[in-house]
Amino acid sequence: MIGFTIRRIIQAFVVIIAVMLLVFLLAHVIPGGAARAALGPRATRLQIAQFNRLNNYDRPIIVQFWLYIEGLIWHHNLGYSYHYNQGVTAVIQERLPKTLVLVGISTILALVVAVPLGILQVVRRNKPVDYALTAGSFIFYAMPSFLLGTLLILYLAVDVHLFSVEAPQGQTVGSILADPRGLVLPEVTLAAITIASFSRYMRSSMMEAMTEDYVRTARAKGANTTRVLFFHALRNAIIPIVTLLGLSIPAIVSGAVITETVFNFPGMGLLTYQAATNTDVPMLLGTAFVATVATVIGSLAADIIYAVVDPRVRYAKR
Amino acid sequence: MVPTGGTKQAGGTATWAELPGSAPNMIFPFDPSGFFSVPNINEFQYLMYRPLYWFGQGATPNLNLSLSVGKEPSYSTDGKTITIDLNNYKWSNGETVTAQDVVFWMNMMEANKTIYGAYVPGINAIPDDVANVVATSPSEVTFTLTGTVNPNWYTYNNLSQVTPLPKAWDITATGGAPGSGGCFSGAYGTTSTDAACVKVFTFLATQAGYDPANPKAANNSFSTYATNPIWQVVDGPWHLTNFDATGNITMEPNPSYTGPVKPTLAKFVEVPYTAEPAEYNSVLGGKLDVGYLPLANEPKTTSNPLVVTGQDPRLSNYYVNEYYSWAFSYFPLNFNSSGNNGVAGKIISQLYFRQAMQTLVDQPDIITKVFKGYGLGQYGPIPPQPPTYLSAAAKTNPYPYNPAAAKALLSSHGWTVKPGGTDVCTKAGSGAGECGAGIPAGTPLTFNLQFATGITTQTDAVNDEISSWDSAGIHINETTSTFDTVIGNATACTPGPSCTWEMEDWAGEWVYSPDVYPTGEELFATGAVSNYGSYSDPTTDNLIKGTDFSNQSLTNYENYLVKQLPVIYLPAQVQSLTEIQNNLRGVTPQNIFSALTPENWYFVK
Amino acid sequence: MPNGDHGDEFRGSAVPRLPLEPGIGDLSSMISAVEESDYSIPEGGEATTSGGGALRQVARVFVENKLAVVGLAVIVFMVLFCWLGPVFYSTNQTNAQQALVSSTANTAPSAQHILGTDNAGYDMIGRLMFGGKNSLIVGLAAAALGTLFGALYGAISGFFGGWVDALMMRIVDVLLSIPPLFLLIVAAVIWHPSVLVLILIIAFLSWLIPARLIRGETLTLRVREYVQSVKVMGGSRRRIVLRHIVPNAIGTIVVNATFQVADAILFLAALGFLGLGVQPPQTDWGSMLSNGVNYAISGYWWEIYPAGIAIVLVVVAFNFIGDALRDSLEVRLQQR
Repeated sequence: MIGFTIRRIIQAFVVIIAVMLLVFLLAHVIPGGAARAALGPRATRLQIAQFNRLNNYDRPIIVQFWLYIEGLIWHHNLGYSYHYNQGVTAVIQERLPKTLVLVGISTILALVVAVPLGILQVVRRNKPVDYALTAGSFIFYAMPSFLLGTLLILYLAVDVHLFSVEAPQGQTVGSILADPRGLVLPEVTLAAITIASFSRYMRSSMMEAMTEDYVRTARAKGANTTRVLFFHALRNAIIPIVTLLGLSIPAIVSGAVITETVFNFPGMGLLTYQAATNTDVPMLLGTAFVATVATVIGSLAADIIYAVVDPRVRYAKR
Repeated sequence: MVPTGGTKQAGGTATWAELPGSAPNMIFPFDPSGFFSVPNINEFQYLMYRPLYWFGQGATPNLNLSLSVGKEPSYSTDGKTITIDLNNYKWSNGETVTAQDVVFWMNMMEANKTIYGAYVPGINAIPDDVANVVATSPSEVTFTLTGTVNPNWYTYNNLSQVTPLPKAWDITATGGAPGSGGCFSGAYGTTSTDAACVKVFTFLATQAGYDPANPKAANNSFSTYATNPIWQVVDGPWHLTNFDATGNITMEPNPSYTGPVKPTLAKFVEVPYTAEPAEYNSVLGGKLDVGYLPLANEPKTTSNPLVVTGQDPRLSNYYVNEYYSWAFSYFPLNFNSSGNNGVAGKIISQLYFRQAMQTLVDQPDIITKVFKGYGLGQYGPIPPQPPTYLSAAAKTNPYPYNPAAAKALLSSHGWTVKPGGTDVCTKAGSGAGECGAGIPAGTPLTFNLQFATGITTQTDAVNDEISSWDSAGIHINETTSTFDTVIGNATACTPGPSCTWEMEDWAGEWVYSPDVYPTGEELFATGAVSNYGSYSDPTTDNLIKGTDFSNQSLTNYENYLVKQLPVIYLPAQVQSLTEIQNNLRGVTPQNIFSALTPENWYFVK
Repeated sequence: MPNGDHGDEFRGSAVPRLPLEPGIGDLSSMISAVEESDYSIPEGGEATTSGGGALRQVARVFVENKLAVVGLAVIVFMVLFCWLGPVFYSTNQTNAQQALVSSTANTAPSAQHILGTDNAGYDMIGRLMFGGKNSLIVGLAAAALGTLFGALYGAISGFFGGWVDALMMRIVDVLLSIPPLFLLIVAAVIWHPSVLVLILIIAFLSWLIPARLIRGETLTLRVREYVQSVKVMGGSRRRIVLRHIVPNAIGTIVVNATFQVADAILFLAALGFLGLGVQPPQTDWGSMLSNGVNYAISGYWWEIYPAGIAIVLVVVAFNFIGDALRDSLEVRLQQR
């Protein structure tokens, strides 16, 4: 187990470096270059040359990558964004908590709704409720989030001033949480789609668990349905929930570009998108780094938890 | 229609919408390249730090002496000496705005001109042509130039760049004594002053978040903008009380302001937006006092481009005002392009080709159908509104929409015209009736145009033009990209394998600021900084020199460029359909450089 | 400005799949980031070598599962609508100037334009047909390309095993760790979005999941006795891969591909919303929607509902079919 964990952690490091290299190469291929994007249309040739020299764009790409990694690991410096006139770390530090709140709440909301829904669908399997919920989740899953978000704004915030037209604009987590009128619509938009897939997954893994031998044994022994349901099947279905959580971490950290755009919420997702369209290379790399680390940690956590929880897995051999 | 009635109220907070993605990010008014922008200067810095000369009188671009720190500049008869007397302005720390403050700026500019965002090298403009600048008395500053200049050009394009800086900023470390930096009182142009000014500039810029020597030095200065005592030394009607990293800005009146109009409002707030629909939602939700209606959502087409006739019925508690910015819309063609087997640039260099392209731009149609009537025909590099600067020749379209004429132009120059297809050069050569020098027979008339998406009306307009060009066989391959990629590609280059761009349209205009007098030395002179297409023409160069350095009027330059088509001219779109809350007055007329004057605003009851 | 959210949360696959077998590491596409080599090998059944049996199975799925039939009907209808529609209802969809001249932009549904016009003056129904072609082509091609490449990649990796397998799967890990929307956006900014480029970009994201799935399958089958016996009899590696492993994995491949199509269409819609989709005058349902969102607020409902409904219908249809196929695959495997 320890060996497994250590091996996975080392692999995680390697993966992060490899991803950063790939992203680094991509970022430097964006046409037009970073200089003109940062300095604007009136920049002189001299200024562009100075910019390139100051930011090492005129050196070989491997050297640039090494300098970047060195800055990252030894100086904890992700660079400077001309577009924001701030250090990349400062901008990310400012936006990350907001995104964590926005997407985090929706993920928790999704879990809280999806688990009972999944159970309900199993208990009332193939009855109208099951079909209705299945249809609902299919439809929500197929709906692009910007469509859902826009319709919600249109009908619940513009036509009827029930909710706010935009997400909370506060700068601190506290002020965001203190504005429920603004939080509801973006959370609903994000959660709706998450609930749709979480509950489908819960339904299928619960149904799967129900057909397991041990469950059938318990029922054959005379245990009643509810007992069987909650004590045996649910316990085994917790594993996928935990894994789902682990794999949702990347999204919680990277934010949701589309929802943030629709609801005017300057979070991590929008930061990434704007960095790409503004050719803001350091910011692009910074957000990629944060997202990659989150993904790797998420899948590492999922792996480890899964290995801990399911003994069959631990002893498997190639 | 501005509503009338109601009694003026003191106080109140007015909220104003920033354009999406345009949050101010620099407080230090000596803006390095990249920070030199309307959101930073006209919509943020000017409220706190008054420029020497204010431009924008009502809805015109003219010099507005009532809001200027300087009185009318007096030019000597030989045009080489300028004497400027100052009005009585005070800094909020008690000091008077003196002539030495102007010298401070000039010293800073001379030492750091290569970093300064508006510096135009190579044409002998400010500060290259300033031999000396001295405070001849506390309220009078004298410039001595190296050569004669056209006073109009000099005031409008060069002195327009000057903002007096307070002695309190002449420091190189926090808490330093005012004046200890050596840049404020140093003699202009000497090595020691230059060295001192580099240090002072570096210090101030770093305080504002940008370290010119080491940009990577991590900083988080935005949180200090509102608290740093340096930035609280203001001579404008406002001072900053809150500034956050996403672009929320709060300003409150400066009690020591000595200018003509003191603020009535208690607070002025700028709010950031990520996208247009979000801003519009805010207006519909009543969250903004001054917002704007995206042109795409304007419900009615107007017959008078200068009057807003349609209003979203849900916005009954707003009134609308519009303005055109002092800018011109165009996209450049690369005269040096090596695209299309090295021939693209050569075709572009042919006047008849550019004429054919311009003749196919149906300006009236685009204005009516795409801009919903909120647009003006533009046939030259001079902005069409107000029309005071337009010469007679620029008032009417010398190349009105005429597909037949365009086809005739091409066929009479050796091209076989295939409407809807691609024309082919059948008569190569440089004689009459032939395609032109360097264009071999069989060359297809096809070009790559890259344009920046983001503004729906501009995208629709470009697509309309492309279909139009197509109808005469000028085949345009369009690709879309981001604004930054497009301006990144549109750089001046010499003919060669890396100079392959042919046409680039960033769906933006050239705003004539700080080059308010539209003489074009930055755009059309050979080798000019922003002459992306490498247009080079001796007559143009002479005309520009004439308007800059002698008393030649703009007319000849204008008439020539209207005919010459150094770029393709596009119809001007209204800058903003501004939505203002009914009970907020004093917002109109809006400054055509988008400079904000919330000291004029007041609520009524 | 401005499925991205789908891409953020789940690794390019739609509703999470039932595990192919109980208690395996290869849980579902969504859990694909989990390290498979350390978990138990899927206990699959014998591989069937007859392709005919598989087809009959597929046909039976549609007979038994009503939703799958509905899904298929919807897709067939959409294909006919987009390709045959313009034959009967021909409109100008590419000439912007003509659109502006001959009709008014943003008009409500009328006799002349049954679903109204959009902001450039194009007829909405015609736009739906025109855009639908791109959405469906990109969706199908990207999914097909991605699944095909991924399946081959996974089969080769699983078959060879050892360090080859380790290296190939590490590459997949690295690529899976890049946030997908990030990759999409950067790729779209670098390579100007055209239909072909979009197919390639989305396929690039889609091949990773099938690679993992098929590799898992291959690992199982590699040790099955009949494969051993083929080797003993001197069968070539290629023969084993192509004649034994692949046909058995077809079930998984097809199920996954179906869900990939749905995801690809949603990805394309997200890209269109961010302004990185196909370029005008070309369009796709996602770009139509994103355009329409700007105008919905002005009350021009016909500019969003048609495209929105079209996307939802098609994505749901593919999900129905995929679900049904997967259920039947389940049943088939459990019958062994």
